[in-house]
Amino acid sequence: MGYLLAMKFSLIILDGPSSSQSSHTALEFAKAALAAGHELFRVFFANDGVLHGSTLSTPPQDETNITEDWQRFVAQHKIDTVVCVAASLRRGLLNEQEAQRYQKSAANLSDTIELGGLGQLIEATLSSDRVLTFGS
Amino acid sequence: MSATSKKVLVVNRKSPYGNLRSREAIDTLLVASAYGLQVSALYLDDGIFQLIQSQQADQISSKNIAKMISAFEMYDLKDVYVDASSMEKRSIQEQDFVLPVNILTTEQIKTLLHQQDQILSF
Repeated sequence: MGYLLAMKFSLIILDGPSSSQSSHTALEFAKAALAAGHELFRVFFANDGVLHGSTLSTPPQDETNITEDWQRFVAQHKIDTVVCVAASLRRGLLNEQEAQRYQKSAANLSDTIELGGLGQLIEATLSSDRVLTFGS
Repeated sequence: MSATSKKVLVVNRKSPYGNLRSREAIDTLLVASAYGLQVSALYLDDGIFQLIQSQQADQISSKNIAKMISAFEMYDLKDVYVDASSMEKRSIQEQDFVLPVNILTTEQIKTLLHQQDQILSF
């Protein structure tokens, strides 16, 4: 591997799990970055990307469940992972607290992922060497 | 960590309606500005349609994007850049825009991108 300058990356993921290939590309990048000795400061899901936080995504069994793959990856590597709260509420992605606050029948946000604000996106841009955006 | 130490550019390439990308880009710009970052906005490709005056968003039950953008100055967000060639391709003039902008050539955009610490694309 040689002598490599370790970098701190943050990733922004904008597309939903079934709307494009980009979140799969992002996951492969994240794995490769860790494998090469880099650090992931934060993964921030915004726009339709927040749907990666759902525990209810159920694609056919012979297809990849990219939503689960992401949740497993961030849990395994203890990566600080945030879904934008405004984008999440708009799209019906809630944790227990928000479900109670808005009197909804269920919560569906994975406990591996935190609901957060755009402030955390800004903080990630400040604290990382590189911020990569995935999604068109 | 000094918040003002980093220059952040938000790049807007999508038309204002049809999805929420433009809305969420505006939210990001406003939050970045509130955090005291040196934040600027670049509009290119169909993104320049976001800046057009006289949008009638209520006809499609949406909030008016141009109206939100026109409030940028109130949030101390004064550096708004537009790609000249995107304007030319779409026959859009400077007076069509909802706020004063800096119109840049491709060469100048290259310089602008080089000056940034981080670039966020929407």
